[in-house]
Amino acid sequence: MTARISTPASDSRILFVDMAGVLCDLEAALAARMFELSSGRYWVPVHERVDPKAPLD
Amino acid sequence: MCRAVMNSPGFYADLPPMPGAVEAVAALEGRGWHVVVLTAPLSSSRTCAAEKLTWLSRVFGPDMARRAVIAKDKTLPRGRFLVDDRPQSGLLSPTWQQVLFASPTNRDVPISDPIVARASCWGEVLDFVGSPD
Repeated sequence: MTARISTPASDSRILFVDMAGVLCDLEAALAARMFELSSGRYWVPVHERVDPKAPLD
Repeated sequence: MCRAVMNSPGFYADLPPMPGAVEAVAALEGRGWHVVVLTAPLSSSRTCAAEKLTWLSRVFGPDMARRAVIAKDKTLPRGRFLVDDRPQSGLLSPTWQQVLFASPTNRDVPISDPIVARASCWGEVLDFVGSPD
C-alpha cells in the first residue's frame, strides 16, 4: 500500500509527533493497569518505579 | 511488572489520548502543518507496532495511520519540528528541532540543541510552533 498525501509536503511544513507520553497517556494506562492487577492493594506513581519508555534492549 | 503489562497484547490499542491532543493535532493541521506521527516500537512487544497503527486509525483516522513512521532512529526523517518526551539521538543530525513534551521522567533534561523548548501541555506546543513559514 502506498500512502497518499493530498498536497506535496516540504520539510518546513512537517511536524512530527511522538505517540506514547505525547499523543496518548502511557503512564496513566500503566498505573491504572498495575493498580488493577494488584487488586487495589497499593498505588505507586509509575514514574517513581520505572521509566516506562526506557530502552529494553 | 511494568514491562509485562506493556508487552501484553491489547495494551497499546487501548491507551487513552493525552488531554488536548486530538484538538491540538486538528489545530496544527488547520494552521497548515503536515502532522506526521513518528514513534518507536517497543522491541519486546510483538504487538506494539501494529496496535499503535490501530490506535491511530481509531483516534485520528486512517490517513494518520497510513502516513505514520515507526522507527527506532528518529533522526532519519526530515521535518521542521518533533514533539517528543524523550531526547533523541541517532545516525544523523536531525533536520527538526525538538519540543520536549514534559513528563515526570524528563524533568532534568536540559534545553540544548536540538531541543529548543519544553512544553508542559498541548497548548504550550501550539504557542511555540505557531504556523509554518
